[in-house]
Amino acid sequence: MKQVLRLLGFGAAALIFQGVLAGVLPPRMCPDLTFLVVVATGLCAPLTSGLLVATALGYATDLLSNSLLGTHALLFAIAYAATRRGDRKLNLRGNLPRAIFVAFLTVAYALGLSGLGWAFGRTALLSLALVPSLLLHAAMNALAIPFVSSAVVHLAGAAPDEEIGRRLLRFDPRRPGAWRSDSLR
Amino acid sequence: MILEIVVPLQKVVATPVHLLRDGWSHYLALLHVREENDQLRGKIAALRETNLQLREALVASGRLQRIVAMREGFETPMLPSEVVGQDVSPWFRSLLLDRGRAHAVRAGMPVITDQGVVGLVTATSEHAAKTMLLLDRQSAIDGIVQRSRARGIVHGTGTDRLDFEFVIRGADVRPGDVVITSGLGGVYPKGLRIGEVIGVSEVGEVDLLQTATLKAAVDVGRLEQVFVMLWRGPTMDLLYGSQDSPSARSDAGEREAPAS
Repeated sequence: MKQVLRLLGFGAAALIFQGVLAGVLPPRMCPDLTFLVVVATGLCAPLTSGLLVATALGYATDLLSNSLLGTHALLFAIAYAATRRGDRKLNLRGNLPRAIFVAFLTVAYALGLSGLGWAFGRTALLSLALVPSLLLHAAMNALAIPFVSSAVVHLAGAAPDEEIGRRLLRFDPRRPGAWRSDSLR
Repeated sequence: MILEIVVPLQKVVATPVHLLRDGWSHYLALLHVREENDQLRGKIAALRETNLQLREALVASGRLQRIVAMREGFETPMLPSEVVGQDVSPWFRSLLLDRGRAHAVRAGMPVITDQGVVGLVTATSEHAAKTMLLLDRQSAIDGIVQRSRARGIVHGTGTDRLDFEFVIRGADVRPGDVVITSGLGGVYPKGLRIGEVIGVSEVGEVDLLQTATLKAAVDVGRLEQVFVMLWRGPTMDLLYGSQDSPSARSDAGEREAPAS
């Protein structure tokens, strides 16, 4: 319960800061901090509490945004589930794999928003004119995810990457061409 | 509930951020201030000259008094409001204002600045309001070209540009034309400035309609203060219910006042 409250508090702070930041920088130059908190939650929080955090933050985003009520709540829950599955299938430990995953997830998220907008409001969110902005926004999210995920891991009380018994493959400089696994050290 | 909590918090966070931004932008502005001053003085002189000529023309034709009378008929009370935050989602364009139901702000009321239309109030709490910007892709406003009276729909694109759509082929629309609200949608009063035409699409031989691109009259990225028009059009009254309308409330208040 404490973990959920800590994550919700952090997500709410991210939501407020994002609203202020959007007034200073062009909207798509700002990383989507709340979305990143949800993704980072997917990397460390258990299913029930993670889904709760994702849906609550999505609902709060719906209330503060001009979207149809429930759109962000649904997509945040899906993003959380996708991150959990991605983490298991692709091993998202390490900043580079996370950044790449977040960039793809940002694009998928925008397509989802657009699809829901078209299905329920007959207004597609994306157009060809917005594709460069989408790519820029995906890049900004990818750059920001290491910072957000380390904060969320710290708040959630989860073990950092190095302590998790996953096999991190690294190049051993003493033996050129040889790879070793961290878990075998 | 969330609006009520978030708006004061956002106000507190926004103050130092805006101070930093303003300090930086003012410093940069000083670098070119003399050159800009000379240019502006020149522009003011030219505008004064134009203004004088226009006033002379109006007085001469005897229309000034009629225009003043018409303007008085249109005047609606305006509520100044501070912008405390932008949309938290980068894919939607809206603003959070620090005035709400306690200040007689209702969903469906237009929001403007001295430069033109900003958008429309879409939701309110007791002390906060959410405003959909005219740049949002869900926004559509019935507009006319001020010079030629060509009519169309101004549609938000999600970027800083607007599309002026459904303009009949052959209608006179040129770059530099000003597009204003037509008053026909029943949402915005007539004559508010929407934007300026910056481009007109090529019309094919079989096309019946043409589209123009507009630059919004209001720079929404730099908005700090706006005015909420305490007036709601008939369409919005139908949509949100006339019981909630400010006119219904004031009528009720007036009827109840003698009894109390």
